[in-house]
Amino acid sequence: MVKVLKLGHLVLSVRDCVRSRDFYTQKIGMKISSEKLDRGQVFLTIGEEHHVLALFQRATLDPPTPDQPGIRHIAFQLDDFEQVRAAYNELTAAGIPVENASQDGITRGFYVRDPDNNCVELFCNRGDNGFEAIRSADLNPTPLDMAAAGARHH
Amino acid sequence: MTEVRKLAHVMLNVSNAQASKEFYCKVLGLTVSAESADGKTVYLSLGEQHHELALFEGATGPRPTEKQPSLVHFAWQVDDYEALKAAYYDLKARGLTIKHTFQHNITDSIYIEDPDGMLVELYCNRWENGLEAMQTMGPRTDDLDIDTRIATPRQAPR
Repeated sequence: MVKVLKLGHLVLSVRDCVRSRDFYTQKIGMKISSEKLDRGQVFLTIGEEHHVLALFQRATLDPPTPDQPGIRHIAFQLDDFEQVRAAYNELTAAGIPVENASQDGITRGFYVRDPDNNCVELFCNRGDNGFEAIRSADLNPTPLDMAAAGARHH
Repeated sequence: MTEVRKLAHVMLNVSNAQASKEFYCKVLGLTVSAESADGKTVYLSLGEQHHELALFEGATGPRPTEKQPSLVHFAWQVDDYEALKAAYYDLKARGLTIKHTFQHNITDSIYIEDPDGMLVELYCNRWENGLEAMQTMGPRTDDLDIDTRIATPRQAPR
């Protein structure tokens, strides 16, 4: 019986790997671990991983429509709500449309779109024991007021 | 400056959440941590986080073409080469087709397809310091003989 250790990385086919690289490095702080621009390949990392996201420039057509199978969103974690709010303010100030700032029983966060319209979630956990928490949590998201929410975090 | 701390989870748009749930539980050893009453949204976990993978049954259309921006594959780490080899034979015994067995500079990897044709990689790291290995050697892909762990130049491009 296979039992994996962790979600390691994902690879996206993109239309412009430099544009996508700049989004993931400049907007959400990932680092380049290797890039071969002549082959249209960029590998991005967080911390000590060899990569957590790779971008292969292979796509020329429009992004999938919502009825096509594939990624619905990719979620990156931040440490706490202060970081979520800072990211929200920073991305908003940079003119990036922020969607659906919300909270449910286990997380608080918001969504942005990458250059190929992939939905990217930035969130923090509301408690420590996520696996136990999700079993009893209300998973229906409710709108989150970024300015007001800090005081009643946790 | 925003700096994300980790890749936490992925939510997939799938054509049949229950079929995908069964696949990911069997193939990766994930556990259901939550599920909607209608069974069309499923959260799967490795046992500590609330979820690493979520499945949303919203796909009624065709798979993305090769020229549409989309997921190339997503990858799950196993302990070591023995675990990877065991996974290879376990998956084959379950009747799954192993699409590729590759040795990259940084990982040994096998690939299978999920029920919607999405490519799933299982890998083990080859180096203690993967980041340094990636920075110095970069990516590379050879064919891998799973039994001998011997790599040979790839016969055909993926």
